[in-house]
Amino acid sequence: MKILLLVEYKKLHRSKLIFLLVFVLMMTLGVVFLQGQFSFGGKKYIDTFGWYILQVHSLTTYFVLPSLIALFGGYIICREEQEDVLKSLKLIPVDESRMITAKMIITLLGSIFIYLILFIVSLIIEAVLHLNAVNMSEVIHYFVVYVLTGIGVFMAISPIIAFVGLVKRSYWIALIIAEIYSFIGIFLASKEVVRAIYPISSVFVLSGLYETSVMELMISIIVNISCCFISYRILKKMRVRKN
Amino acid sequence: MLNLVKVEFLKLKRKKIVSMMFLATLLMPMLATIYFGNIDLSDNAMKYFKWTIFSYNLWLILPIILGIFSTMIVSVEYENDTFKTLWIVPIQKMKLLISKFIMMLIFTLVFMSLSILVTLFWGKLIHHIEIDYLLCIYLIRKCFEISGLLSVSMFPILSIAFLTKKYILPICLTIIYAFSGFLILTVNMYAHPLSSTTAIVVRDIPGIVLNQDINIVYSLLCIGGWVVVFTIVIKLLLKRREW
Repeated sequence: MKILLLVEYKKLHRSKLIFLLVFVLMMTLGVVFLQGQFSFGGKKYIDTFGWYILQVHSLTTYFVLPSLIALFGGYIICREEQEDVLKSLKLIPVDESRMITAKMIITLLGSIFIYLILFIVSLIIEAVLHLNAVNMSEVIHYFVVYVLTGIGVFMAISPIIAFVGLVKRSYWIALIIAEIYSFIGIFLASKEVVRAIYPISSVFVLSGLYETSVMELMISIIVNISCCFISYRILKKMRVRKN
Repeated sequence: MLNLVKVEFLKLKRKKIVSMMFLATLLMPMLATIYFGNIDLSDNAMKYFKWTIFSYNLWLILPIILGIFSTMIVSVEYENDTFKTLWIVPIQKMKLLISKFIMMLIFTLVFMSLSILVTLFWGKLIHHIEIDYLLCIYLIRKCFEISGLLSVSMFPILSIAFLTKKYILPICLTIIYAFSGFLILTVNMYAHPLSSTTAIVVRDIPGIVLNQDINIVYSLLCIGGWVVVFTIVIKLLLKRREW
């Protein structure tokens, strides 16, 4: 497994995908920063400490990141088949199920990495704008929120990535499905209990961004684990089909 | 040109995913039903239309779908390696780009018409809204307005898709483009084509107030400026490019 993970890392190292993702993240951060310039009641949004770090988290999670992570996962799963190297890999022979597990782990790490980049950049911007207001407990709280969201988003979209792996065609389908999937979360986030049931909004419950009851937290944990289980079943089906 | 558009139609006929994209027209009416719950909308049809047609559908859902659609109709040529054949025929590169743009315009028109039909049907069935002759005329006019403006606003993405061989760059840019248009609307509606499109469309919708005064000339200049810049850039790049 260690070798497979290293191989995936090296493949990504050569690919421009990481640079593209970083570019997209920077653009997203810039757009949210621009929105912060909008004044309400004579005061700019961005002048309030915590606004930027919070908006970056929620806006990107609802509108941008699930689809990008799904695209990333779909791409690394489909690329062997699309670039016609799968036959060569089978000749080595590489266990395909282990290879897909390695790809899923890389997607999880990528998801956490993306959220960490967002956290670091938004924290730097907050520190530059409101150095005196920054306190350690809030920084740690947001760090935990961002990392848990990275894990949660991966869990929530893992069935989509697995589905794309199953059909092995046009990885950008993952993007459309994930975009609609995350977008619906906006409307369900305001409804108690329902927000814990719907995977994308349950990520917010799980990460500790909302003040929720223990029951909601338990539901969101079950929902996210169920998503992982669904993706496991899809991947298992794929292996059976291959055999 | 007419032949080129006809050929594009024939190519699309083979793609099942295109018809699946129209399912997105169901999304907003369904979400509106969740959002409004038991609220009686029978005497407030415009409130319902603002939600289902003139909000997220306009500034987020349709731009993303159009971005993916335009990427798809261009990338299929790279995938099947048909561009070489097209240049041998020979077909002018700009003419081919315009034919793809016309396809995008037709797609938007069909999407918007379907969206209005679904909204009217759903509204009548679930919310018991009153539909009169004037309302239908108003919706048809808006459908044409949105189709024309949105297709032109998505021209930069079509141009980028025309220059890149893979899906990932134009699709990632589509997300950023739609997301930034949605957020920049609150900051400066004359900076982004999608923000300007929204400004023009919502100018005569009762009950919508934007934080800036809507100036149609500035909005059209913004959209036109972006299209001119991208036309010049693509013309230069296509001239220099060896296929």
